[in-house]
Amino acid sequence: MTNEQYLIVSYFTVAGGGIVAAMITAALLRAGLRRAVAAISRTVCSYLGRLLPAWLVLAALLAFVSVSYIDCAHTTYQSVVESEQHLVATTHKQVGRIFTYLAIGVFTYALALAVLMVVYRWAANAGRPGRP
Amino acid sequence: MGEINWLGMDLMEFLGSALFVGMSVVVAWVVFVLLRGPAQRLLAMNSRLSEARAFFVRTLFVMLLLAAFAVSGGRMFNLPGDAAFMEYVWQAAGNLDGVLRALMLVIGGYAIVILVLLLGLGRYRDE
Repeated sequence: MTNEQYLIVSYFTVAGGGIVAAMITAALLRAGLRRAVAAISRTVCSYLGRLLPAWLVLAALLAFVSVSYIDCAHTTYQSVVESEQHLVATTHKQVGRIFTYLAIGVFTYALALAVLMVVYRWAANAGRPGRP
Repeated sequence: MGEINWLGMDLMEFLGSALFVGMSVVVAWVVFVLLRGPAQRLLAMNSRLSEARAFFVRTLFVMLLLAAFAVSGGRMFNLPGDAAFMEYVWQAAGNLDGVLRALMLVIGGYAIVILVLLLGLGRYRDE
């Protein structure tokens, strides 16, 4: 395979793989999430359930597009395609960044859910004075 | 224009990368097994969190796994073609520092999530 073919194949494979990784991550968390948010409210439960896959897919796509093939040493398409080492290194960088952003996405989602649970509980307690 | 194989690396580099990914996943799994019990006990301090316990424990597992993949997927093996097998093993072991750093960050982030929950909800027992 030529360097240009490798560039095309790896680019779209990594993009597709990122989306699949995001969907798998969302699927892994989905079962537990449904039970966790059921205690908050039905509307919020439905909203948060739909938000997770979209949030993670966006994180993966953002990570993917944030890696550029163009840098100081490779300023033109021709120079990018000529360098095997650069193509492979950039592909690795894309993969690494996708997983990093997915981890950050899961963390922010869990943190937001934790804050939401606390706020909901405080609001519920404020509505029922005298209850712990 | 140069030629490149579909993996973008030769067989030894591929084996080295696969070994590194495997080592990273094993380290992440060991860390998860060590932390799972304490995390469950912390979440059990408030019985209102019983429904959410599975989600937060699974979140820890997923974050550790993603962090391990993030480092192992992003690292390359830049060794000469005539490098010995053990040189690949050494490089994989050397790259583990990035994995451990990432796992440390995940544990720190997870501690923040648990802290928010327990500070906000406090200790509570239903019975």
